[in-house]
Amino acid sequence: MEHVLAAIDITKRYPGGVVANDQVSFDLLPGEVHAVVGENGAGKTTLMKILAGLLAPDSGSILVRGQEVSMRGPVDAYRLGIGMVHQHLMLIPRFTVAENIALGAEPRRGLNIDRAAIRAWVKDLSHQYGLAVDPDAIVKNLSIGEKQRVEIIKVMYRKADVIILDEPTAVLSPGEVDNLFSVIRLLCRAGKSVVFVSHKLPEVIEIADRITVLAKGRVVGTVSRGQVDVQALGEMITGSGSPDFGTARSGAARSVTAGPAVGGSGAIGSAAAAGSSERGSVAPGSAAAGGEASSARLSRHDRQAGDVILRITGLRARAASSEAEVLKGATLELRSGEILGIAGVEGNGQAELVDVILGLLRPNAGEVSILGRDVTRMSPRSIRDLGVALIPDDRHEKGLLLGFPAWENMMLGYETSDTRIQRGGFLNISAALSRAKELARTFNLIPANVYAPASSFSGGNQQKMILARELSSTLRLVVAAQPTRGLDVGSTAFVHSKIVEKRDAGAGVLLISFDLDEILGLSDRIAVMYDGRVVATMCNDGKVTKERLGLLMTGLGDREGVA
Amino acid sequence: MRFSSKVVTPAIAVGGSIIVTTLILWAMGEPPGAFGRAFAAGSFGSFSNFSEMLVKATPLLVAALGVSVAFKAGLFNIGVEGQIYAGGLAAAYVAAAWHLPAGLHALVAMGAGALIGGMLTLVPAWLKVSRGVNEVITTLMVYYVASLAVHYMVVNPLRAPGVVPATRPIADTAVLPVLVRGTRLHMGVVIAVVLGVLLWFLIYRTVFGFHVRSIGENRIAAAYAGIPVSQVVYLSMFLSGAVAGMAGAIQVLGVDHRFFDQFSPGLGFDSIAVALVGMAHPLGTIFAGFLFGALRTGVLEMTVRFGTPKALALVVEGLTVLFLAFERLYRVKLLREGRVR
Repeated sequence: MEHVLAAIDITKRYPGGVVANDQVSFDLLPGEVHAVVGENGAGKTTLMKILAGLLAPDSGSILVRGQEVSMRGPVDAYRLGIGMVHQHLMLIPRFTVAENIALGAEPRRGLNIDRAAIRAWVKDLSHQYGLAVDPDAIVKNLSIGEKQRVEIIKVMYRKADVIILDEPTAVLSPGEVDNLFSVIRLLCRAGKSVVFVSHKLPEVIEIADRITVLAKGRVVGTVSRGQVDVQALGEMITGSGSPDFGTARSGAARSVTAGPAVGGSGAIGSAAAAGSSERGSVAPGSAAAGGEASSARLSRHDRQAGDVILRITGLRARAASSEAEVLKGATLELRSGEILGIAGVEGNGQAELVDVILGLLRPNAGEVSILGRDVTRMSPRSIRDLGVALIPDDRHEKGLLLGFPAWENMMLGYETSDTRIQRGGFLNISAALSRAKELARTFNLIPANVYAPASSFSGGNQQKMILARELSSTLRLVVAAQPTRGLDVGSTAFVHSKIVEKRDAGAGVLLISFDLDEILGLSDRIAVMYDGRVVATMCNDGKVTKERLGLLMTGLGDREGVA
Repeated sequence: MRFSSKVVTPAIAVGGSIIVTTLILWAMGEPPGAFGRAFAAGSFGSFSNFSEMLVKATPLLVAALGVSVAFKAGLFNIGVEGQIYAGGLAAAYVAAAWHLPAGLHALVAMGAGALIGGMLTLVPAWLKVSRGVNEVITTLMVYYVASLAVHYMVVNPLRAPGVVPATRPIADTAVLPVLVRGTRLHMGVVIAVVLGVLLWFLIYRTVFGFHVRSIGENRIAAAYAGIPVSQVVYLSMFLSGAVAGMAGAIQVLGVDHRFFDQFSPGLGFDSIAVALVGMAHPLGTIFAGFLFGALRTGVLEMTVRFGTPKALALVVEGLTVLFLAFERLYRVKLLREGRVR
């Protein structure tokens, strides 16, 4: 069969000698889902950007339906029938769905935009592919899943035959993922081809016809459906003796010592981590993964929970940007030496909860106390100084000064409290540098160049930068909001091991995640948030199922065990 | 990479604009070579020309330092012109009406200029912090209010007898001393350079400076890190206005020795271009300030010798800013090609 799209011997170097793609070849058949997997920094995003015309390769060629092409931008890509849905959705929040879809390619009637045509077209598409979305809705009022559907429709509207989905499931709830998958299947049945980038191996195995594995910019191999399981795929990705996440894996291995031995010693951590991102609906290996998840729980010592670190009572707050009340009387309690997982669908008040705890959002009612002190009137600085660390859900927006060098990012937030870095308001640059270098070593930052701007690091290493600065002081409370969002298996295991380390050292950890496997795999107790309230709290005793959590998360299900 | 791009970029922009200006002159049928010589002679031909260049550059450079402080915090203080006027008038008033020992008098007068210049930014800073109003609009509005108020003061209550609207001459105790006899080169140029170095230290070597740069880079991340964003906005805006106010004070105390109405023909707006060419870096701004000073005296000399339009200086300056904008475009292209990340 003729390829819709093929990349042949693509090589791409970034300044500083980083080879992001080294002789990478990739092809896509009509009607197939071709997944691309690999660790952070393996070159997936670079390859996708090249396929979508956003980056020009240094060498190699791209063929569209057998014809060699040279793309100078996304417009060229669209003309050739290639469209990309980015991980960070690119929509204009104040515009309607229809306006966003037509943007840049508006059908006209005279001088006006033919809104009726767009509307009819969207309706038609909704029926055809199950992409249910109201063309007149304002985009900012949509859920993440709906916004993603708008992006897919946008790509379809430009008559794309090839749809590149860059980590489309990273922000979706389990139900939304199932939805997306049925859309993908319908698209393929209609002859469209999908390139699917993901870190979640069970999903990849579920949806992909073929899987190409990248490591360090090279193609490790391409396998077809049924040829591999999650574990084998995990081993392909990490390879043997990959130095990148060496400490990450050994750290994870320590925390899952009770896990069943799988493969070589190097593979234990990654396999366990792969298991922890498993989705329940996947048949092969899901039993094994469940076993691993519970074994991870076993490593948690059955300690008595300590003093109350964080107590939230009847918390009500508005969202920063609107008048709508988002927190509607949330109540919870976190003790030292425990991880409290907050399960819930995005947008049910989790972000506001974090903002209130950190003093960035003033609540309308209710109380937040940390170590017995009411913090609702305290400044973010003084709250942080109580020993509160934050791993933010959005590294780029909330966690990093992207244009600043790594060493400055690694002191951000600690430049006033750390007396080695400053004295009397004056910075001690050499002390800050040596501290950053030390942290870079401890956290295995790659490259270990603390002078390089934060933007030049891969996602996993940017997260290491944040962990290094947030988790290196004496802490009482760690707020970890989606700490592994968009990270590969190795980085995920590393982050988890660091969080467990802090818990074992006596800190209370508030873990907010939309990934139920992460919640179930790490938490000592689980609180479910729905519509601005904590609707249930339970011990993670191994009897909690995803199905039950899923029902609670959507406002259904039993409310037993409300603490 | 970062350092070299900070130096190379403005150098290319300035070089490019000079080349284009030369082409324009050539197209006008004038021999560019002679112009080049006149241009160079205007700024460097003699010590008196050189010192005059420094005198011209000083207020421009100080005001540009004010702009760059705000830039570092991600804020655009476009109202420097008003802060220069208000600062100059405050300094002129203190320098003429008060009686203080020599030296101290000048310092107090400069302090008054800084205080008034800084205060003019408080309303924009407050609106920014409390209501999120864009400071570009508010500082510009305050500029109109301030410059008209200053104009009123000089034309009416504070006007000294004479044909030109101006305040009384300042006391000798408040005059910034002349450094070289027979020139107008005064202490202000030294103050300007020292101020630039001090601001560099403040921004790159202190915790406050780190906070200023952090909110300039990513205000949200800064807030999550516990940096008191509002406080830093107030302080950096005030500092920006205070430095701009000092620019006016230095011009009054060092050169004019009284406040002439409308003494700053667009000095504040030109200083924005200077800060841009200096890449908002205090040390870069020092160089850019002297460069623009040289440009102006050079073009003035050309006007004297050949009768070329004075606006030629504006052509060079405008082209420089344009070239800098091109650089941004070029960077986007590099980004696309993945040659920089």
